[in-house]
Amino acid sequence: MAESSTDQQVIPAAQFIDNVEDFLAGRPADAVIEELNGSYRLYKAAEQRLVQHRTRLLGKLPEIRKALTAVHLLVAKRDEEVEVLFDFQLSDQVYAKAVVKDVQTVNLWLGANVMLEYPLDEAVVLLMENLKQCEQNLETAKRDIATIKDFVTTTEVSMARIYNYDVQKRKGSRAKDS
Amino acid sequence: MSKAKDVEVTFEDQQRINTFGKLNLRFHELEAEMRHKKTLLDDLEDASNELMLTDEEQVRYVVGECFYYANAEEATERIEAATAEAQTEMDRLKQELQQTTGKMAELKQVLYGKFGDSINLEED
Repeated sequence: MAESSTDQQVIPAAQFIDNVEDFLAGRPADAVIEELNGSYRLYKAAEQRLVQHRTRLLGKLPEIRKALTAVHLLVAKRDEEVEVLFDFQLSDQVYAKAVVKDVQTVNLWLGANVMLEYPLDEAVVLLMENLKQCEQNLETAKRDIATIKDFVTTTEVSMARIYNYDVQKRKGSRAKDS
Repeated sequence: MSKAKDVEVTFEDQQRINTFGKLNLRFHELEAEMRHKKTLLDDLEDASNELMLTDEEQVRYVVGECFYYANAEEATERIEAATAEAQTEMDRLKQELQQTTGKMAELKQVLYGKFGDSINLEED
């Protein structure tokens, strides 16, 4: 359940172009735009990866919360020393009744086909820890997405500026010719 | 394309455009989150109404993958707690949405003011 943040790849930052003419330095506009387009695709791919990662984390969050509520209920009923009746799913379409009393431990699904038995209080601690971890990872993902979004926007603007600069220049030289 | 008559894009402009992009992204996230919360609140309201109408002393309350036999009183308490929590979240989301649209409007004003028709900040 606990997993560290993204597969961090180093992505070169998008540079803001101060002056289009200086930036081009005599190179043809299409070639430079094509070059920028390459980084643009790179950024877009990275953005997509990060968004997917975030979606996965967002899906995990309610799962952990659900497990936590269930364990909290068991803890509460243990402390009240009452027995509780449950309907639990035996298989698809089939539910059976279960009387739950004097529960001391709970089995937590850890993923990768592993289930481990924990004393109730330890299970709460573990789940809380997982919840915190998941929220932290979400924060990181959010920051990463914001950064890459800046790169994407900057590159989009740069390409448009070079394009416009080129159009203006061509117009200028055509005006001179005629 | 545009007839930008030599309106230079400064670094500050780029920062503004970037911020606008991020705000717009957040705006859509917030909208999605609010839709989810709205569904949850509606469901909780339905559950609470049903509870008020029912004569049953015991109801089955969903916990995880199971249903647990709770007495009506306990179930009501649980639903009230869940509603309060969801409502707080909803209020927070609403507030953030308001702030986000406010900031976006400010940036729009600045950017349209400078670039006019050369920039498009609307959704398709």
